[in-house]
Amino acid sequence: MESCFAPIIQSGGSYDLRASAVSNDANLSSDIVICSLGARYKNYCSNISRTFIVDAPPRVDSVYKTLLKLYSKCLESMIVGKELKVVHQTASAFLKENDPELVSSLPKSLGFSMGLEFRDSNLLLNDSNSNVFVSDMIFNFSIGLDKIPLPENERRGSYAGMQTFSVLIGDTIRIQSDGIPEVLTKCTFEDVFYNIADKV
Amino acid sequence: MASNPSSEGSDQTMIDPNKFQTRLKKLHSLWLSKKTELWGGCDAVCILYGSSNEDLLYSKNISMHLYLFGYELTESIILITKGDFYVMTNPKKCAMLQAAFANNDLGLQFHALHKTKDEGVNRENFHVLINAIRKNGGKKVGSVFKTSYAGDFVPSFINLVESSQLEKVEIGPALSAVLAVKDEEELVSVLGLFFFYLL
Repeated sequence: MESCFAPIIQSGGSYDLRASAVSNDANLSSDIVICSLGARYKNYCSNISRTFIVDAPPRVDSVYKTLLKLYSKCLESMIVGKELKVVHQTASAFLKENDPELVSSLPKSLGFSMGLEFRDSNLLLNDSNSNVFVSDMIFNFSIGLDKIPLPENERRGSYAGMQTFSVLIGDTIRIQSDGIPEVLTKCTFEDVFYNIADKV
Repeated sequence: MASNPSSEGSDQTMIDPNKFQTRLKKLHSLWLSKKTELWGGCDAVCILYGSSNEDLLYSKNISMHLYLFGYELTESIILITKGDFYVMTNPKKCAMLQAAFANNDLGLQFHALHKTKDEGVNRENFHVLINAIRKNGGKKVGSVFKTSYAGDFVPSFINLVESSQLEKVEIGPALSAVLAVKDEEELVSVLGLFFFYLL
């Protein structure tokens, strides 16, 4: 078992949501922490990304909940026979309808085919790829929302000075012949929100 | 990260014949069935591997080697045509591949060409490969050409391909298609990772 890449841990309001990001030397701040881990076993890669939120301001809370719904919606679109671009199209359409401010926060690619190569650039989940989903394809499905403006009146406590924020959820998934993909890196989203300020 | 059997000096290293033959069959039939739409109409499929490069973590060629052989066979040229499988590399690796070919139902004739210290012999063997591509009027050879290969072996072969007026076709996307759908054995490895995340 080895690492695909060094763990990426980011916080403090400035985030790089790409799989190629690196952690900088800044200390961990108690606001929004985004972690990505990659592991490789018998030469096969996988990846998981999670966001942890401390003392969530209302906007952050609502965006994260939208992200969860967005995640499910996109997962439902990854059906055998559909083109890869349907995922991004589904995401755009969902945001247009539910929170239009977030449409521009959607990254260009929501993931990629994964296996012996960490990232197969020929099979990206962007808005133009016409290759189709086939059963037993493995993808890194990574849905994030980037550089979302944080309302001024919510910039308090650890969030003072944070102009924009990002959130990210990433999993390794397997396309199934019937139904929605199997999420291989499944773990619950319960332990995502932490409240520290209340206890002080 | 490179798993190069010739540097291990062990005679235990072998290529799993079952995995190799099943996956080669998959590659071969995907090529023949989608030759025009996916493989640029190439008349031969060529997998190139340069000399050892510690900095290169991932590439289509590395993936193809791990997929077919379980090892990276550095300084090798593999050429697959409709009815033949050629490999040009050092004698030890040629023997490994020959062993993996035993008792197959691929309908492919195996040819081992040795890479030697004699430039003249190597040149002759290069010409065998060129002629194999040209068999039955072939003009196009598919490979991952848009990358740099360490060492002299692969670049000098590519030079000969160019000066022989053969057309080079990029087959990166086609190789992606071969690798995209995981077989049972691969899924077991991926599921093994799943347990890591539970810890």
